[in-house]
Amino acid sequence: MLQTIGLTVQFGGFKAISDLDFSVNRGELRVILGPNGAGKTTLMDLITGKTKPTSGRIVYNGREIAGLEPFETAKLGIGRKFQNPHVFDNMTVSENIEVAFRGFHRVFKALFYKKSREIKERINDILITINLDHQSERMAASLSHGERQWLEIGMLLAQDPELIILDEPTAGMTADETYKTGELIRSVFKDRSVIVVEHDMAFVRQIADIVTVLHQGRFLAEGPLSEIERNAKVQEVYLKEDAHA
Amino acid sequence: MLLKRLGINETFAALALVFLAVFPMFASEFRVELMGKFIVFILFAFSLNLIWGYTGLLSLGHAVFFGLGGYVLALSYSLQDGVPSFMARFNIEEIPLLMRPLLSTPLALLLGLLIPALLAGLIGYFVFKSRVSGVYFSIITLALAKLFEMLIVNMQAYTGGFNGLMGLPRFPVGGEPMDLVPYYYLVLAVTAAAFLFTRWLTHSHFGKVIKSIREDESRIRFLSYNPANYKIFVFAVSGLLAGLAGMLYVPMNGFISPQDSGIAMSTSLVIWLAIGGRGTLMGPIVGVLIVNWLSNLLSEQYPTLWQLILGGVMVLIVLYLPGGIYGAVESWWKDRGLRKKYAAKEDQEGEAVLYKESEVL
Repeated sequence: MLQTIGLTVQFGGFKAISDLDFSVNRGELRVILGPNGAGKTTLMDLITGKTKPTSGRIVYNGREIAGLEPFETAKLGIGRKFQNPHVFDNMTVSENIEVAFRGFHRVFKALFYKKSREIKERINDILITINLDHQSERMAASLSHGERQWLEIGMLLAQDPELIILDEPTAGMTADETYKTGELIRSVFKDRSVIVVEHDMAFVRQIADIVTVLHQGRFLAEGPLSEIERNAKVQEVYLKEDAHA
Repeated sequence: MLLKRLGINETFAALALVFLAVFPMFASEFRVELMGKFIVFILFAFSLNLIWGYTGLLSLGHAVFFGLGGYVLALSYSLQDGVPSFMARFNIEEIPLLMRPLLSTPLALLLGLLIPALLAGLIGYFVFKSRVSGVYFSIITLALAKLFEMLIVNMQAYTGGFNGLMGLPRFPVGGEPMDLVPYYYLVLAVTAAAFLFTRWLTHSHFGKVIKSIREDESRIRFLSYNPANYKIFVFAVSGLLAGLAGMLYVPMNGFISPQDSGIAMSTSLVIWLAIGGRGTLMGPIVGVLIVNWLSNLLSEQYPTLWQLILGGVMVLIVLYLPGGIYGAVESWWKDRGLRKKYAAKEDQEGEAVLYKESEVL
C-alpha cells in the first residue's frame, strides 16, 4: 500500500532521514517508535507532502507521491492527525467535522453544496462515536485538550482516508482517555492502514501489531512488540537515551 | 421574542433596514445624502469583511478596487459631452481609444464591476499561488494603494489628477439625473442584496472552508482543499463588491478624488470594520454607522478635538473588545443560548433519573 525506497531528506547538512526503506500493508496498524530526533515526524511530513524528499521514492497504491502537495496526497486518501491537535478554534464542533468531509473541496462545489440529510446523519454519527454529540454547537476553542484530540480523530473519520497517520494521538491525555482512544482507533479504523507515532508504551502495547523502530533517521528494527523489546540494538539506543537524560 | 425567533443577526439586520428605510422621511436633505454615503460605506465594508473578517487576510489597499469602480463610472459620465475640459487642457482632441468603451454607460457599469474583480483575481493569483500570506499580503496591498493613488495623480490628463473628477450627475436614467431620495433607496436596496449575498456565502460550505483557512490554513491543506484557489476567489468577489460600492459612491458624492482610492480610505475602512466586528454579519453595519455618525457629531461639536476623542474611543474598543462592538454582542448572545440549552438538558436528564427512581420505589 505504502512503500518508501531509499528515502532521504536533508535539512542544511543534517540528514533527518537517510536511505529509509519502509512499507505498510493494507489494513495494517503500524507503530513507529524511536527516541527524539529519530525522524518519526519527518517521515510523516514526507508521506503527506509537507516536506519534499531530497532523494528516494514514496509509492502509494502504485503511484509515486513524493513531491506532491498536502492537498493532493489528501485527495489520494491519506489523512493525518497532528501531534498537537489542529482543529479550527473559532468554529463549532460540527462545523469542524463538516469541512473535513471528502468530495467538496473544489471552490464551485463548495459554493453550491447543500447539506443533505445523509451528511447531517453522518455528522451526528461521528459526533456520537467521538463522544462529542452534546457539544456540537460549542466552539472548538472551548473544548478540553483530550476533547480536541478526539475532535481531530472525528475529522479524520469524516475525511474517510485509506491511510491514516496519527502523530502522538494521546499526547496530553489522562490514562483513562488514552485507553479509550486506543479502543476508538482499533474499532473505527480497523479496515484501514494506520501509522501511529507514539511514546506511551502502555498505549503501544494496547494497539500495536507490528512496530518499526527508527534511530537517527535510519531503520533500526521491525517486528512484533515483544520481539522488539528484547532486541539488543533497540535496548542499547534507549539505554543511551536514558543515560543522556 | 423577535430576537429568539429570527436569530440575532436577522433581528439586527431587520432593525437596521427599517431604520435606514424610514430615515429619509424625517431627515434633512443634507443628512440623507450623508446617510446615503454611509450606506455605500457599509457595502464597501462588506467587501473587506469577506477577505479580512472571514478569510483572515487583511487587505490594506481595498480602496483601490473601490476607486477603480468609482473612476470607471466617473470617467464614463465625464465623457458623455465629448472631450472633457481636464483632457482638453492637455491638448487631447479626441477621446482616447482605451476609454471609448466607457461612452456606453451600461458597459461602464459592467466594467466597473469586472475590472476591480479581475485585478483582485490577478493579484490574488500571483500572491496566493506563491504562498505569500499574513503580513506580507497586507504590505503588498498597502503598496498597491499608494501606487494607485500616485498613478491617478500623475496621469492627470486622463484622470483629472489630484483634484479628481467633479460635477458628476446622480445616476442619469434616460438623460435626467435621479432625485436624491429615490437614489438613496436604490443604494439601500443594492446594499441589502449584498448583505443577503454575504450571508449566503458565509453560511455555505464555501464559507466554512474560508473560515477554516482563517483559523489554520496549513490544516485545511491536509483535508484535500487547496487554500490558494479559495483565497483567489474570495479576493476577486471582494474586489467586485468594492467596485460596486465605488460605483454607487460616485453619484451620491458628486465627485471622486485620489483620496477616495488610496491609503486614507483603505485605513478608514479597516477601522470601521475593526470597531464594528470583523467576521460577523452585522459588524460592518454597526462599525460604519457608529464611527461615521460619531465623527460627524464630534466634528460639529468639537472642531479641534474630535479626532483625538475618536482615536481614544478606538483604542479603548480595540483593547477591551477585540472582536469589535457587534462581535462582543454576538458572542455574549451565543454563550447565553448555549448555557440555557445545556442547563435545560441537565434538568431533563435530572428529571429522567428522578422518574426512574420513583418507578423503582
